[in-house]
Amino acid sequence: MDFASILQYLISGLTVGATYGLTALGFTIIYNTTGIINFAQGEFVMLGGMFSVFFLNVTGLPLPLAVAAAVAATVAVGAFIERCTIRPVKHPTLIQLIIVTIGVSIVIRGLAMLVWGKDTFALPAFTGETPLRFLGATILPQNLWILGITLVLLAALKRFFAGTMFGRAMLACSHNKKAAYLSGIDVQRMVLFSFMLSAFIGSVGGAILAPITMASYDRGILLGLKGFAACILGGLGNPFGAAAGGLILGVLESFGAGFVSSAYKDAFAFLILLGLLFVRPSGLFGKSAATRA
Amino acid sequence: MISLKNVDVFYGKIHALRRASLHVRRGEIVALIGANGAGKTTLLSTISGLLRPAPGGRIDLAPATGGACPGLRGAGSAAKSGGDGGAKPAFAAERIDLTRRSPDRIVRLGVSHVPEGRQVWGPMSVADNILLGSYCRTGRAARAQAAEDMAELYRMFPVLEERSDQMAGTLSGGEQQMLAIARALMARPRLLLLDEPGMGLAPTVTREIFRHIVDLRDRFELTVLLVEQNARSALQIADRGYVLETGRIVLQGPAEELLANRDVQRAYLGRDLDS
Repeated sequence: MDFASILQYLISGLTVGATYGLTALGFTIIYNTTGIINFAQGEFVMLGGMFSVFFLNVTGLPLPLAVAAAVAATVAVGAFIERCTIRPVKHPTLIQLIIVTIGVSIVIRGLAMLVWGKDTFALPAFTGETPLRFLGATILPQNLWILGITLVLLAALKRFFAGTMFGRAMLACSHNKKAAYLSGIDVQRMVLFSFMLSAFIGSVGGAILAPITMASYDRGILLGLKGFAACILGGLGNPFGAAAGGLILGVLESFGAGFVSSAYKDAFAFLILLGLLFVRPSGLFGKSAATRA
Repeated sequence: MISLKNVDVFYGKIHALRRASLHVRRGEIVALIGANGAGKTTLLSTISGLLRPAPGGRIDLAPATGGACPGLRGAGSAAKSGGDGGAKPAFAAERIDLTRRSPDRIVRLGVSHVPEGRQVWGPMSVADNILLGSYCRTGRAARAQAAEDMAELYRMFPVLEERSDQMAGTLSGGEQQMLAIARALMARPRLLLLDEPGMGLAPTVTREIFRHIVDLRDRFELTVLLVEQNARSALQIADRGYVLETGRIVLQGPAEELLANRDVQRAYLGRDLDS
């Protein structure tokens, strides 16, 4: 194995891993404010890609606007999910709400199939397809877009959670909901907002990944599972761990595919996850699970 | 300031609070004493909206001074007297019924609850904890005022300023209690509900906290409803007290009277009367 191909695997791994990371981040945000694992998170990613294609091809918006509209539409879907399927549940237990999200994801996938069909759609790359050469490896401009946008998003989220009153209030909900209520924080609103923020992050991930992997109605299942795996890998509830877990998972997958066989690409991720759970059940960056009630 | 009338609370089938009636007048410190499981925390949590009382009871809050609160639907009908002990509450106009309101709305109405066990946001900084206490105060003028309040609280609790960048979870128990109180005060409450502020603290620290409570009442023009297992220290700073036993208020009166009451002494002050 020469250096160039190792570098190549690393680059493609980081690219895919960035999307896993974004999906994982979406899981984390909802988990932190509500304790729910939102299994519709993968559908946000799918919708980000599919809506982008839709707005570009059907309504004829220029690409940047189409992506923006896709993100906005997915955020609306996220808000709709919270208002219409999570909030109305009377005296919910967590497990019920989690099952609701599974149902929602199936419905979304079904609707997407009905509306857009089973075809795979391509989204043009944001800035051309001319590969760049870098130490013997090739980088697509889209790879740089993905990594760049992911980094910008991470930095923006960090600023949001550490530097704004609203972000702090969301964090406060995750650390101690009772204290949040008693400090005048409208927890319901925070839950709604966490779904919207997760939809935002997921759909951005879907839109920037679509030029490389294409978009189709069933893209969400596997991405959701991988994102969830990344969450567990990094330690559930830890945003930094989620992003890092996604990158690690992507890179491992890419190396596995490169060195062993691409047929087992998806298996590697889950094998590694299983192995880690035996050794460190709380994830790489997680504290002990017992501290979270 | 506040009056409860015939409030019942159930946890499933357990009748945790039985027809509880009490009132707190503006500027008073009222102590609520009783053994473990008597319903003290339940009562405070019902006032702050964490628990819903059974239908029938009333919890009325006096409106802020200077007339009715615009935009808030008051309780409607003119007030009847609080009814217990013959004492008339110090307000009579429109009252605000709290029984159907969410906790965050109740905070906005001027009632802050410092919960049992302090409940600070451990992984967040001390400064963020205090700042978030003022979450409900929006608008430029209110934010500026909140910043002033924060400076004032730092003057009162210098240790919090020293540790403002530290994670709240790393503070000692007494410091966390001060933090929890400071956080609650950042909402500019008129009524402060304190749940076991002395729990798990060394006696000297407890005394310090209790001194602060009196001081805060004067400085922030607070009304305080205090729940405490340590009946003696609570009654020493209180004006009046209520004794709660298995969900029922069994005794009430001025603090000195309760301190001198033989039943209270035997049950809650640890005085062995037979020796």
